[in-house]
Amino acid sequence: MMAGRNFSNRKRSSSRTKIIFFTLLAISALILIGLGSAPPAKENDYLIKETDYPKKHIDWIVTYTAGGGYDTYSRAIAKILPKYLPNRVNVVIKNVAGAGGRRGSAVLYRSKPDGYTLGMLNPIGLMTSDIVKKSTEFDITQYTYIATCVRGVAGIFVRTDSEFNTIKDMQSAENVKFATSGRGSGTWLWGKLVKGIWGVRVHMVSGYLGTTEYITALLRKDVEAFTIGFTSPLIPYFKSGEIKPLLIFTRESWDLVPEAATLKGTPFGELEDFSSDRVIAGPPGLPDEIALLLERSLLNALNDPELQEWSKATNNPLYIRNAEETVVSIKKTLELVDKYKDYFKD
Amino acid sequence: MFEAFTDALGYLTDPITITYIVLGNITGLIFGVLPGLGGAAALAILLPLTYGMDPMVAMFFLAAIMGAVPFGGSISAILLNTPGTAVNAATCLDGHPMAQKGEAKKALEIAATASGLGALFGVFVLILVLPAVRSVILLFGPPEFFILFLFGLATVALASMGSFLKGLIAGGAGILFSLVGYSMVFGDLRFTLGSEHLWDGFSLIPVIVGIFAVSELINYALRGGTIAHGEASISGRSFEGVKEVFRQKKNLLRSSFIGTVIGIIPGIGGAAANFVAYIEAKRRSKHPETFGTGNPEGVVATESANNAKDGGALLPTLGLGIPGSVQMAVLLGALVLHGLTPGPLLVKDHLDIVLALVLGLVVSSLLASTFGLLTAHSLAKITRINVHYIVPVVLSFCFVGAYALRENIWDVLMALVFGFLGYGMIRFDYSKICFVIGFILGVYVERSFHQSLMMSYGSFRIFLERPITLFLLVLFLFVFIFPFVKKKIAVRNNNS
Repeated sequence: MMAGRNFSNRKRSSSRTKIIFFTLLAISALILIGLGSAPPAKENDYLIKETDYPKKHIDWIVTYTAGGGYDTYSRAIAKILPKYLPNRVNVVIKNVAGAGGRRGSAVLYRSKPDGYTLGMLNPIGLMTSDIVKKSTEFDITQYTYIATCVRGVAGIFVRTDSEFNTIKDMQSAENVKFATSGRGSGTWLWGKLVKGIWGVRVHMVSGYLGTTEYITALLRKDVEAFTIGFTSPLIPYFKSGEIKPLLIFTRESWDLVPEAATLKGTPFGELEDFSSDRVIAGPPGLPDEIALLLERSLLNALNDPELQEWSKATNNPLYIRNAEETVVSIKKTLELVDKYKDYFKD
Repeated sequence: MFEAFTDALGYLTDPITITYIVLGNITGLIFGVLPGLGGAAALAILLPLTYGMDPMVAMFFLAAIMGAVPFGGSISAILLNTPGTAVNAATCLDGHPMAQKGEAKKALEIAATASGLGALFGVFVLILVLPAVRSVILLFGPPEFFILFLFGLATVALASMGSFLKGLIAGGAGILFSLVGYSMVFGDLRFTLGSEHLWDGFSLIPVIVGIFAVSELINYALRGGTIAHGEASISGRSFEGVKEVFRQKKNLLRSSFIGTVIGIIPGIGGAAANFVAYIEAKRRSKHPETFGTGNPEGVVATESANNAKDGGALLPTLGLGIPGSVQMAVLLGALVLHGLTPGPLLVKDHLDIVLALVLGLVVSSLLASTFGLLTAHSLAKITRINVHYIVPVVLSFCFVGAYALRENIWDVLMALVFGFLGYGMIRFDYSKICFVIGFILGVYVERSFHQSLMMSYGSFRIFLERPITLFLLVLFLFVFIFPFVKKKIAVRNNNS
């Protein structure tokens, strides 16, 4: 049964719940009497003969705590992915949070390149935290990138009743208070860019933990604006008429909020590539055949109708890139970080 | 509204839903009893099981887990002096001395009754305030939080049992430990000794497990014997604890209110609620000197507060999509995985889901309480087992609990280190409660203070210009200065 199912189907889903419940009971009984055994391999288990992989479950590292955006996407994908893996092995979520995503990234980096450890990374987050303190535990260019599942769309956001309607309004203000987590975070990076590129006198109010706190800070009038690299959680607030985008950092209009101002026609279109993508990767040195198998399975899973439906129903858009495109995109972002590095100095 | 309510109630007559509520309840009790494993770990681990369920049934199941955890935690707090979860830490203070006196059954009954009633209170407030949640939540910004946190921190002065100076030292040490790690305000690392493990500072669970549980187990291992001293009877009169709770209506209501209000504050919620309620009960008690020696008032206060806080924490979680605690953050993730979008429109568009959570919480809390009342007598027998059998088992669970939430072996080491620190505090009579209050609130006081000043471009007037801050400041001064003035006047009158 799909998690992203429509609510009008409740009666049907109730009976399905019963079926699942009794199936679970039956399975438990089978295990208890010692009849549980591994399911037979399917005929369409391509590549299995060459690699004999995977034989056991795959660990999927989420570099943030349970309940956040990375965790939710990871769990949604991990639920579908076994369908497309040879032997239908399970994908087990492991939240290895800490140090702004760096701890989990380091654990993934150090893991054995045998295809049994994957993870969802936040490349731009790692790049910006490297600006504050270069990590010695991983090198972002060395991971084995498998796919991109989400493309972050960044922007500047204000209250709907704000005096600021355009970037020009902000430029003429004496000071504009922006909410941020703190130095080295994505919001801090974007705030610095807004200050450096458009000359807005950004006054950062730091100490807010993530998107929900930025939203509250804005609605509570602690601050007048904020920038984030991943806009989707704001969609309900656009719909409820509380928050509006002042500027979206994309080259073309954004399909989810088509009326919002963008970078179209400005010389800063390349800022779109500063995006907060969510990328699936393995440790450095993952054998090609395993990486290829994982890429194909993941791309299939990301295109699965059930996942697509969930994505639409919950405003969690999917943006799919293969391994090669992912690497190109990360390279571009790294070049941009280097190009604009002077803006990030204190 | 009515239709959604009857729809949600209808699920409560469905055998499948009832089965899942019972399963959730049992799971919650187990995760609550085991030190360190709390609601957040339970939800994160069991979330995949709900993928195939009808979202309504899934919500009943998850709420049932959340509803049972706090009472589960009080069982280990009372019997073993090792809080099952962070929100039960203060229950150890009087619950365990009751067990030592042979009153474990009564203490468990008090915890069961106060938990159930506290949960009902929290949910009642939740339903009452939910329509106006937006305006209530948005009234409190960093300056208001600063005064509230300061309030909490100042209670260290009231919480120190025995030496006042030692209480302040313990509180100060707690604050210092809370400042380790990356400071979001300053954007820099503090006191990390060059270790990447300390980037995020000390995690709350290992600290609580260490200070309260491991330290106590070290103490037991060295002491030997049984938990209940001497030949004191563990039977007690039937439902004596239930009657005790009803005798303390004021304490129950006040503590439930404190729990609900603190539960609303994102981040600190549950962990602080039980301490603040405990200290307030002590301050208002006719016999404050008996707190810490097995006064039932202490158990009523902490257990009603830590269940009421869930109703409070659900307010920002459901009303605005802002998680009130780690557990609530996982719940938000669960909502998304079930195709729902948390945020301002959730209550409007999916009231039935909201009600499923509310009803699940209530039913599960009451179930857990019933379980507690029915089993209190049997559970109390644990206090008659030689601690040399208990210590290795509970210690293993402590380390599993410290490890589970972040799956980090470092946290196990920290639980051990804080265990020795806690043992030192027991030996040299330093207040653990003061340490933990300092540890929980220290970093929040600092953050809200700096945020307030950043908001006002460095002007301290922000604390005087906002009506709620001003009101809280006056209240603060009144609460802390009035008793001294009253005492002075009394002394002067006596002299004259």
